[in-house]
Amino acid sequence: MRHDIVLHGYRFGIRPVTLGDAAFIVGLRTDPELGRYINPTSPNVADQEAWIARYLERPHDYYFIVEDLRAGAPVGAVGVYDVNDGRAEWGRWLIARTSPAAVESALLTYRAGLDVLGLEQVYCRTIADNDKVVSFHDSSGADRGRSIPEYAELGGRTFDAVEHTVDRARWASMRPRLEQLARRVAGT
Amino acid sequence: MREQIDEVLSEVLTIALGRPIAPGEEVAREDEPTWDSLKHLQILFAIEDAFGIHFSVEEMASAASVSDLKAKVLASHAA
Repeated sequence: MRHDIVLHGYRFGIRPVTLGDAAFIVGLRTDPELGRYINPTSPNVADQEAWIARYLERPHDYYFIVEDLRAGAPVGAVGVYDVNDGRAEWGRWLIARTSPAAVESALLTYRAGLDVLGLEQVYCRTIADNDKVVSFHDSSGADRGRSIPEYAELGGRTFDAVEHTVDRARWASMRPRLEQLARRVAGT
Repeated sequence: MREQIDEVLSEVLTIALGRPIAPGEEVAREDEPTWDSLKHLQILFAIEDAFGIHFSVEEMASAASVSDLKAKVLASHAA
């Protein structure tokens, strides 16, 4: 949906996705390593523009570009969507392999969901085989919850998912460490 | 110096990855399921503190193994 949430962190920020981001997103999503556990993406920029155009009209869906504030360049994308009854999923999270923006982009996404949108809880569903991302959520302090069997089919294979949740109390306990790491990446 | 680096890297990685890493053992980030992006920063900052060095943002992203970390420490101390 069209939104105006812009958050600046220590080194990285998030801003709304625009049609002009289509080529960058295609580059991210078609990276063989980054795209391993996501639905296949057309390499055609016009197809991505059409997807973004539909997204802009879709309610309860906040899609962001992660930017390196010093370089003034996009380094990733992330979304908060399926907002319903005080909860939302966060995902579509891809960070260029050349950037250490993962921690701060997660921090900014939690700020967007829990502080700006005022949600009570956000959750993230990760393909169980995507061990580094599952580990990231465990390391961040998110609450590892249920396993979701046969969550997705990718490349002819069926994958389970792991759900992590973060409510306001959990966010308060996680935030200082994420802030500390993000500050240090920025050298501040 | 190399032995000291091996010892420190072993200690840092053992704590971060939650399994024993022997001094001098070669470990690649891509092969370690729990060497995630958050632990990666914790590893780098522990090394910065131990050796008084600094990883640039580019080096943070590109460091991918014990060899890379060791090379960075040696280069920083040679400079």
